[in-house]
Amino acid sequence: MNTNVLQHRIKFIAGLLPTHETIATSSSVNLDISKPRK
Amino acid sequence: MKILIDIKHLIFLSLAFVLFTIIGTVSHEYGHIIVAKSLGYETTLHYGSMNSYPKGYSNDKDVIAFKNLTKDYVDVKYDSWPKELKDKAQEYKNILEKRYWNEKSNNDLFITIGGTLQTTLTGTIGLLFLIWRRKIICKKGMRTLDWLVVFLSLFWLREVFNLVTSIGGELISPNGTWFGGDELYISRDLNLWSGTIPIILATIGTVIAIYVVFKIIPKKIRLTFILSGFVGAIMGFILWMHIIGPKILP
Repeated sequence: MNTNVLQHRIKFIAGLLPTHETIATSSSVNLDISKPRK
Repeated sequence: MKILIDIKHLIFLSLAFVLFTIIGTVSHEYGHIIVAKSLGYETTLHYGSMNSYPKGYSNDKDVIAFKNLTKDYVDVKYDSWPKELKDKAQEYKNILEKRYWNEKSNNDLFITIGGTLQTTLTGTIGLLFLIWRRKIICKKGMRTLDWLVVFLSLFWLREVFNLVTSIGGELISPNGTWFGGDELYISRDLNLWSGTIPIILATIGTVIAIYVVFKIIPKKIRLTFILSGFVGAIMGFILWMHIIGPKILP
């Protein structure tokens, strides 16, 4: 996991990032912050 | 050719666009929230986003400790974090991932779809009402209710706006993707090409907006309406996302 993804994941798990944003910001689109899915 | 802009209508319609930009944004978040609540998640609403977490997440002592540990480093690059902080953060991350994010589930996809569905469903109901009312509008003109429904039908413009802003963002500051927001996540979660949902919805949104503007809005006010759309939507976006919204729903 590269450091950008790791930092994003840490912020996400720490509840410091929104889970759903209204506008199509590009800051997180390359980062896999999603929960595991079927 | 004589082009007429009706100033009084321009002001009223611009204000209506401002208002409906805000209503559209907040109601979109409520679309996510309704689905998240129905799936048993805890949620919070913010001016331009919502959060959904498994039940008990916010009150979990490890989450609170993790948040306190990292809150001062939100804007600091991970590489610059002190080593002991990195180690502790990794530890919390692993514990909480295992506790809350380990179960394979499609719930996040359903929550994501909730917002987009709210926006497009509201727009579609508005469009169907306008199609039904079209002949009466042509004969008798627009009533207040018709104007209200015009703005609801234009909820579809979110899909156009999101595609335009994500493409614009990539042109100005490339990061390797032309798409963004819920629509991108839905495409990815459905194992489709990233642009599938953003492009399909933006195309439908464009067709509906063209229909409403050129088939419903009376010709004499059409140009004023288009101009007020640009002015009001941009003003509404700036006002809500940067000025009022952060104060009311931080």
